[in-house]
Amino acid sequence: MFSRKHTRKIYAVLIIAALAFPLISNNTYYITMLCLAFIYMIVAFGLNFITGMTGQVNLGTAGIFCIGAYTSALLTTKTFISPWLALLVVILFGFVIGIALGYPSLRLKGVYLSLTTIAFGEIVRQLVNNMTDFTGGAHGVRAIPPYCLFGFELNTKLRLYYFLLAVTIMFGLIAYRIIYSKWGRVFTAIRDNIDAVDTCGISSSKVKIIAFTLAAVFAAIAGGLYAHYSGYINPSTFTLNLSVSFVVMVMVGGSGTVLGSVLGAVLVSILPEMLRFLGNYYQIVFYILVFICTILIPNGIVNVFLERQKTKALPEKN
Amino acid sequence: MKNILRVESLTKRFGGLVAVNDLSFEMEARSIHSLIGPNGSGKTTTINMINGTFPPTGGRIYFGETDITGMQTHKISTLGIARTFQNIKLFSTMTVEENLKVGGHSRLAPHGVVSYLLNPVEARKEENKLQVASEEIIAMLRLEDIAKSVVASLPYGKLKIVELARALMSRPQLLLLDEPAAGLNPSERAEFIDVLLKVFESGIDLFLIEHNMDVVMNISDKITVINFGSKIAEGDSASIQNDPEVIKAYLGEKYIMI
Ligand SMILES: Nc1ncnc2c1ncn2[C@@H]1O[C@H](COP(=O)(O)OP(=O)(O)OP(=O)(O)O)[C@@H](O)[C@H]1O
Ligand SMILES: [Mg+2]
Repeated sequence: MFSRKHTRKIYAVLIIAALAFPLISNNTYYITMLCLAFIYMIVAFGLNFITGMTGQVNLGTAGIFCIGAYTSALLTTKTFISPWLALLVVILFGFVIGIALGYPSLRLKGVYLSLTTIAFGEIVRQLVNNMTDFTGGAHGVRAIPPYCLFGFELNTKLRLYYFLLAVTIMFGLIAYRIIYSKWGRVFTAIRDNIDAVDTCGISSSKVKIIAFTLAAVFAAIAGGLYAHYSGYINPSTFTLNLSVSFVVMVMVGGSGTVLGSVLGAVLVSILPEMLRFLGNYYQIVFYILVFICTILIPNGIVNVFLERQKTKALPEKN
Repeated sequence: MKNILRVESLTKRFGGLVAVNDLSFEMEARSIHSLIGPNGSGKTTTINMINGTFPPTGGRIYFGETDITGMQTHKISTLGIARTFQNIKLFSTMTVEENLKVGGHSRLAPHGVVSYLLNPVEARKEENKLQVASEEIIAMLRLEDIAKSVVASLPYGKLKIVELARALMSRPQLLLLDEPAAGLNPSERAEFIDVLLKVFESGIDLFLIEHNMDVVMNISDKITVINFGSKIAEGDSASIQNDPEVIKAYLGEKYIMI
């Protein structure tokens, strides 16, 4: 069993390992995989506020990720403004989408909210796919320029790796601070008993929108990073499948924790490689693992080892 | 005497059912006012309208001079009305202390997310305020030994006190209590009465729904009795105990004959 002090040591070890990894292994393939895992982590940190903490489903994250990626890609390839400036626009869009997606969540619950978010993700993908003149349609956007930092172009695998690691650590810190703060408490309170939240003088509607907005800003930024990391994007990446993967990262990794999102993102992006020898059976094995985890450890792997397990809400007694 | 709460011709219909019917009463400041009545007579519905869970079908509610009819729950709470629930509503995966801190969130920690992230000093100050306030209330209600326990692991009797403690964190002027002693054994109940009196003495007015007559008769300054949503009697405990309408409502017609 680990307490919060222990988890800090775990973070330290993980960060050191991540810093040292390229020095030990020069397998660029793994480095590329980890870069993707870092980007996914940022999405998972954000989604954790909604799905991991306030307990609401969001199956439209790929749509937000997509908007982030295309906004940055199109701005930098069509108008030649710098990726950093584009990032500001991406954040703004994340903000707007978060509020727009948060509103339905005030009225809709469970299955209906899931459907709304699925529809949102698919609408975004279809729009991007069909507005060929503007987005390049199925051909995608090519030759997306890399970020520049202190006069260096982040165009080598190694530079990208350390850049993304630094950004991910930053967002991990932000997420950590929010989780273990009054906000984290209020998010969890919404999942536990939403009526009581309003009785405490807190507008549960406002808090839900805050959670959606945080998640959307994180996902949009991650999308922007993704565009400049891969240099080429097309709509086939941003499917419902990807949205489901994000939920898997949060819930199987460990809801309500940063460590859970880290583990989940690594699992989802590395596991396919580890299970490669299975060939076509990979997907089956992966989803069997998800199936088993969901039933046996609904709060995710990390929470099994954390000192205070999140127990399920009490049944209402009347 | 000044009123802290005034309800005028309050009515609530659920489809064809009239849960509360043209109910009016006044609660004096610095008093303990009880609302009693048989099961299903509309007591919880009345509290739900006062605290903004749903708007009334008709009538008005005044908190002091302020018309709070139909206001949102969180606004009513910040004005100074806190409540507890008949079917305890706690944050069950969180500790007692964390529950209390959520209770104090809007009074002691009103800063937004961005300012929280950008200003760690202010953030720490807010957290300290919440810590101090929750420790005070934990000490007052003698919850020290369970402060760090997760709520889901606690016995029913403790949950009632924790919910009261959370309600106190907003430092309300008026506290609405929906059957706070229900499900407690007689010794727990006696202890609870002590706690309630302590709360009252700390300056908070109590509006109490209760089935246990020992609690109601001992501590109420004024009692309003309702049956089928309508007021049938009002007065101090002595007059209520001898009111034929009340006896009829509680015990049935035939007992009156004897
Ligand atoms: N949200 C609701 N929708 C429909 N009917 C309701 C609702 N809330 C209460 N009622 C009905 O209104 C009537 C009054 O209910 P209420 O809960 O106010 O009674 P009560 O006096 O609190 O009873 P008890 O002593 O059992 O708690 C009951 O017939 C109940 O079924
Ligand atoms: Mg009731």
